[in-house]
This record gives sequence, structure tokens and C-alpha cells, in this order.
Amino acid sequence: MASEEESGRHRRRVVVTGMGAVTPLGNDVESSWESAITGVSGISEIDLFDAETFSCRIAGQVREFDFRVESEDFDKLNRGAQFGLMAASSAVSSAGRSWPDRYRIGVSMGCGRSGPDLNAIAHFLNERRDEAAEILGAAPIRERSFESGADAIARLLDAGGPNYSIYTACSAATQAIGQAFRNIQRGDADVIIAGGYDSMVNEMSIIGFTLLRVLSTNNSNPRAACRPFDRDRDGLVLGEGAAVLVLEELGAAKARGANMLAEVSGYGSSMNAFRITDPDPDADGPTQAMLAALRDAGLSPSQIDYVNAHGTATWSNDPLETLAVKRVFGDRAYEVPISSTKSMTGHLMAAAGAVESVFSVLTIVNGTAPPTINLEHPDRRCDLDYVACHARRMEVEHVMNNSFAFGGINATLIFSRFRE
Amino acid sequence: MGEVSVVITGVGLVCPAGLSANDAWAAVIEKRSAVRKSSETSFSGDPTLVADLRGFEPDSEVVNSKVSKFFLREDYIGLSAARMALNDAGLLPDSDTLRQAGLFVASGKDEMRTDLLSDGFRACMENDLISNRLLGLRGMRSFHPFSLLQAMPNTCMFGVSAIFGLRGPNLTFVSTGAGGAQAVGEAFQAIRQGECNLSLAGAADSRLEPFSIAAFRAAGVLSQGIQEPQLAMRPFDSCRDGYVLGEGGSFLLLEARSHAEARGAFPQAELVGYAANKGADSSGSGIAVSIDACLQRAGLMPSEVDAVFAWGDCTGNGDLAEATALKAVFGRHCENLSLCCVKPVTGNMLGTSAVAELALACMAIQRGIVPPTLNQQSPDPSCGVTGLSSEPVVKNLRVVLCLARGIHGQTTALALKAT
Repeated sequence: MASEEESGRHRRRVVVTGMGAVTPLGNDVESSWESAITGVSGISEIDLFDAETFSCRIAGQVREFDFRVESEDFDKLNRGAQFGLMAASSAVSSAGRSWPDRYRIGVSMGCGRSGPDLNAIAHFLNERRDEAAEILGAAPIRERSFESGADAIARLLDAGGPNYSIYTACSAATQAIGQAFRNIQRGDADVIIAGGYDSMVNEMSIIGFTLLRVLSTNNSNPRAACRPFDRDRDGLVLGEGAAVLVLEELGAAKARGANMLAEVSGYGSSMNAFRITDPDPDADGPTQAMLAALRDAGLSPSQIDYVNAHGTATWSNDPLETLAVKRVFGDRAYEVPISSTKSMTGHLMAAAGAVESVFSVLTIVNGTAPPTINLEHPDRRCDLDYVACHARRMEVEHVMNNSFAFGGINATLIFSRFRE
Repeated sequence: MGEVSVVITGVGLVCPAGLSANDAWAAVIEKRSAVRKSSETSFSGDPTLVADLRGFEPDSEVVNSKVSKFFLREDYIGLSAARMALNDAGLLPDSDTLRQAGLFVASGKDEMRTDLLSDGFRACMENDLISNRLLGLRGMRSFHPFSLLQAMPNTCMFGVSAIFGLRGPNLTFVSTGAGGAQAVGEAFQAIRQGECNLSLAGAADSRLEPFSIAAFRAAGVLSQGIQEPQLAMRPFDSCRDGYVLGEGGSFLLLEARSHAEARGAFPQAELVGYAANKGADSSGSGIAVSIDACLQRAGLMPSEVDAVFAWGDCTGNGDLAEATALKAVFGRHCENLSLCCVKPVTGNMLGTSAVAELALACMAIQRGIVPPTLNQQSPDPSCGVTGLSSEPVVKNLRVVLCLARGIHGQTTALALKAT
């Protein structure tokens, strides 16, 4: 690989200057964080549709979402994209202002999608094609595609820079933020609104995940259903929502006196080239993503103070993730606190990495690591410090955030306390 | 400059005009349009226009692999194009070289493919409606066990990675249209920044099914010129009325020049600039900003550009915006600038078109030929573009610009240079 001198790269620094979130734990950053550090579960019975006959009837739903954004697009957007627009709007408000040159402001989103329109399909199958066409005509391709949320965010904020819609399943938002980091580093934009949105709490997604045997069916006790690293875990719980970070070039942020919450210091991605749902038995893919991010940040594993885990609570993820952390951190793996906030939020899929990035930044800002709730009896293959059940006060300089996706895609971000 | 020079050492193309890059090039030069009428793809049952892949057979090695159960048609198309690009670059699957390689893909997959799920839905209907109760009770038996994974846009990337052994930096874009150019642009940047020495970048799209066609039609972007299919797409013409959806796949193998030289690979063209923006309203300002930024980053003056592969999707506002931007950026140089648009031959393959046009631009540079543009019967004076030719033009091409645009106004420009 080309060395830094050879490539002649001059890397601009990138800071986080604002955040927004809509999650099963709360409809803004503050309430989501407050719930996370007090160990509250956002998982409950599904009521977005009648799930009575489904084997999985629980999810992390966004509740009492009655916000409206001043945007003509809002009502046309699917549920996930509405969350995205809301989170982007509050992230930009918290960052403090809009920027002068629209072509220097980008958007980079991990984009979720809605389920199929069951009424249109029924009409189609009943050969009532005109009615089906009418339903579809009401939602043309511009409004129903993955990218409609990223489009609406750009229009709301008048962002004319790079507009990236990314879908890599569970890694999408982590990669969208990593990509935005790269784009600012090399000067393609000065500000990028980066994150993810998704809502897969619908009939066809539940069926699809059920067929893959990855969903928890602990319907009788929703709050205890998502149990990352626990021996009694029985799968992931779907969540929905959005989170957005305002990433900004350091010089631009300083010039306007922005509040610098943290610095983005490293990003790495890798592919397993193995099975579609699992890494190889040595967890090489996840290991390589973490190592790439550390190299990118110029940090050694011993400098990482906390890891926000992928921690889905599926049977295969948790031990393999544990193995990968051991391969990267060596003996120190037992000393680095790791937690899975999915135990509380559920798995927000294309938005998961963004919510976990927000929590990673807040871990630095507030000096508190959120817990892995429901971890009562660790799996014997999962023998690290997972910050079980209760949040922990700690000084944090560097945080690692991991996402490992279906399709064999691994992505790691590193956030650091901002220092001159 | 000191930056890593990035060259294209392999191209792969599967498109309606031809199932290989050479066949597609021949069809483009000979002006053989692949647009035709089809009655299978329309929601109403009426004939509709398509540019489909006739005679495409999925790679038998891929079909027989244990991962094929996750693939849909566009994944097979993409895998074929990716293999062609690797072959063209002289790279062997699963080689040590590929282990470090990046992979940047644009996928045209959108919602779950309703047409493939019809039988499952039928089993869950009562009183002419799809019943939640029955979905819960019977869904598990009614749908393909991997329907969720088949519908994922990143399944093509998974397939390329798993079958050919790529493990490096990666991304899958879902920006319809611009995504292909964004994928190539980001692979270019990853190599330039030293994240990897080589990378595949490309796209695959296949949306010729009733639900997608209906959604594009509802957006008002499809041509209604059903009477004469081959005349349907008329870039920058007064009578243009939209595009014809095409399907296809295209991949490029990008490589650091030093890496290509060390292994004796032939550099077909050098990628020298990339820019992406948003804002393709009819003023064309977003497009102009992308072209300006791309040239500036490449260290080129507008007057150094010899030819532009226009996006030219034949929509009213789209072509007007592009024409306005070209005039704004190139000014008097427009007289010397060759323009071409190959979509009347290939159809609009969305993200794949952005990559396919780069592949064709590579071939144009090597052959010293600017492809012809079909259906220039009545040039639109409000576009007022010059430089389009209905016949191939022999010209020494040193710098070629390729433009792309997404359905939400994402704009991109990529600059190629002769090696």
C-alpha cells in the first residue's frame, strides 16, 4: 500500500459539531441518552401492524412521534425517512447554523426502506391493475426509493454538495459516516450531514428475518428479549429510528466558534468474502475492519478506552465479535469496556451505526459508558467486560464503534476527544 | 502533485446493445438501438418500451456456487460484468492481489421484488386482500427463505466479494443513476488516498418489471414514443419525451499506475478527476459546479477537454440543465468539443449507464473515435448544444469527461485521460 508520503495526502481534520436522533429510547438525543445510561429498554409489543399471528411480536418502536418538519416532502416520505429528516433537522439546529456555500455542504445517509404496499399488490393480484397503478402513481419512484430521505434532507438544508445514499444493511450508517469523514478529509465538502434512517418494523421484514432464524421470540418479556453476549440470548430485536451527525472540517468549525463534541479520527471497512450472514470462524473480516480504522487513526489498540459493540444478540455474532476484539486487542481485550446499546434500542439496521455513533460521542462528552442490559449469565465464549446491566463512569479519550452487516461487510469508526 | 495516479486496466460490460464491451461498442458505432416493445413488463398489460438483455445467460460457475440462492437477475448480471473486468485486467479470482482490493458498487435494487413474491402473497389473501393474520400464519411457508437477502442492494457486492475474493474497503450506493459514477469516484479516491492499490467499481440494474416501470412512469420520466421504439430516445431534441429503462451491468478495474506497471497490466486510460454535487434544476448550476470541480481537481482547463459523454436522459428539464451547464462551463470551447450520448442505443440503465459510459469512453480514447448520437432530427434550440454527430467522429482524444445524474438531481463528473 502506498505510504502517506507517496500518496502525498494532506488530511484535513473532521469534528462532530451537532447531533440529532429519533430512537426507541426517545425522540431526541438527550432523552435517548438519558434512557441509555439508566439502562431502560425501548423494546415493546409491536403495534404498528397487527402482529398477533406472527412468531415475533416485539420491536423497538419509535413512540409518540408527532413532530413535523417544515418541509413539503415530509408527508410523502416513508416512516424511516421521516425519522431521518427529523434527526437531520435537529442535528443542524444543535450545530448552530446554516453554512454559506451550498455546494460545500453534503449529505451521506445509510438509507432504509419501507415495506411493500400490500394494497397495491392485492389489487395487482386481483387483476385490478388500474387501481394498483393508481396507488403506485401516488408514490412515484422519486418518493419511494431508498434515496428519498437523503434527497429531502438535502432540500431542507439546501445542501448542494455530494449526496450519497448508501445501503449496506447493518453497516450502512457507519459507512455513511465513514464516507463523509473521507469526503471532508480530502476537501470534497466542508460540512456533511451524515447518519442513517430505517424502519423495518413491517410484516414482510419480520417474515424475512424470521425465515433467517435471527429474531428473538421472547414475546412475553419484551424488555428482557434482547440479551447480547448472554447465554440465554435468542436473537436480535428489530428497532427503528434515525440518527444524524453534523461533521465539519476543523478550520471551518473553529472559524464560526462551533461547539466541538468530538473528532472523527479513524474509519475502516472490510469484507468477509465468506458467508452472507456470518464471518469466517476466525472472524478475520471484523478484525481487519478494526485494524484498518486504528491504522487510519494512527492509534494503537491500547489507546482505545471503550468499544460500542455491534452486539446483535444473535447466536453467531456475539462470540465471533468477541473473538475479533481479542485478536485486535490481545491481552488488553479483557480490560477494554465493551457494550451493546442494541440491548436497549433493538437493531435499527441501516440506522444502527448512526445511533451508536451518537452514543459513542456522548460517552466521550459525558464520561459515561452505557450498559449492555439483560446480560445476566454471559455465554462462556463471551468472557470480556461488557459493562453488564449498569452504566459506568470513566474517563474516555478514544472510542471505537463497530458494525458488521449481512452481506459480509464490516465497518469501524473511531471517535476521539477533541484536542488542539 | 505527488498524488497516486489511477488507471483503468479492465472493463466489463453487459448491456442491451451487447453482452460484452466489444459487442456493445460495435452496436454503438453501428447505431443499432436495443430499444424494443415488450408486453411482459407493463403494469397495465399494454406494450411498453424496454432495453432488455436478450440472450443473457448467468455465469454457470456462479449459478452452481453455493451462494447463488441469494441472487436475483441483477446480481447475476453484475457478477458477469465483474468477471469480465477482472479477466480484461488479467487478474485471477481469489488471488493474493485481489485480497486487498476495494469494491465499490451501485445497486438498482429497490423494494422487495413484488413480482417474485406474488405466489407467496396469493397464499396469504382473504376477501381479495392480503391478510396480516395469514401472513403471520403462512408467511414462513409461502416466501423464499432468503427473500430478505435477495432484496438487499448489497447482495451484488457480497457476491463479487465471496466469489472473487475481494476483502478491502467497500461501499454500496443506492443513488439511482448517479450511484454508478459515485462508486467509481469513491474507488478512485480510495486508491488515490492509499487505502488500497486496486479496486473494482461498478453497478448492476434490472428493473424491467411492472411495479418499477409503473413507478418510473408515474414520475413522468419514461418516453411514450411507442410507435417507433428505436426513435424513442432523442437527446437534446425538440421532440424528446423521456427515457427507456434498460438493464445491465458494468464494472471497471481501477489500479494505482505503479501497481499496474509492476504486474505488467495495460493501462487503458487514466482517471484524473471526480466531483459529486446535488442540484440539477433546469438552470444546470449543480452540473456546472460538478464539471468545474472535477476539472479543477484534475488540474485541467475546460479548453483541454476533447469530448463529453453526456448523460442525456432525454427528459425535458434534464437535457436542458445539462446543455445549459455545458455552455456555461465550456463557452467558446463548445465549438471544438465533441459531444455524444449512447443511451438511444443502450437505454437508460441508471447507475449502470454511468459506469458503462466510462467503459465506452475508455474504448473511445483507445480507438480515437467519438461514438455517434442517434435521433438528432430536430435539435432543441433552447438546449442549443453543438458537437453532437450522427456519425462516428475520428478524433485524437486526450481528455474525455463523463457526466451522470440521479433521479433526485445528484450530479457527477469524472474525467479520463489518455495514458
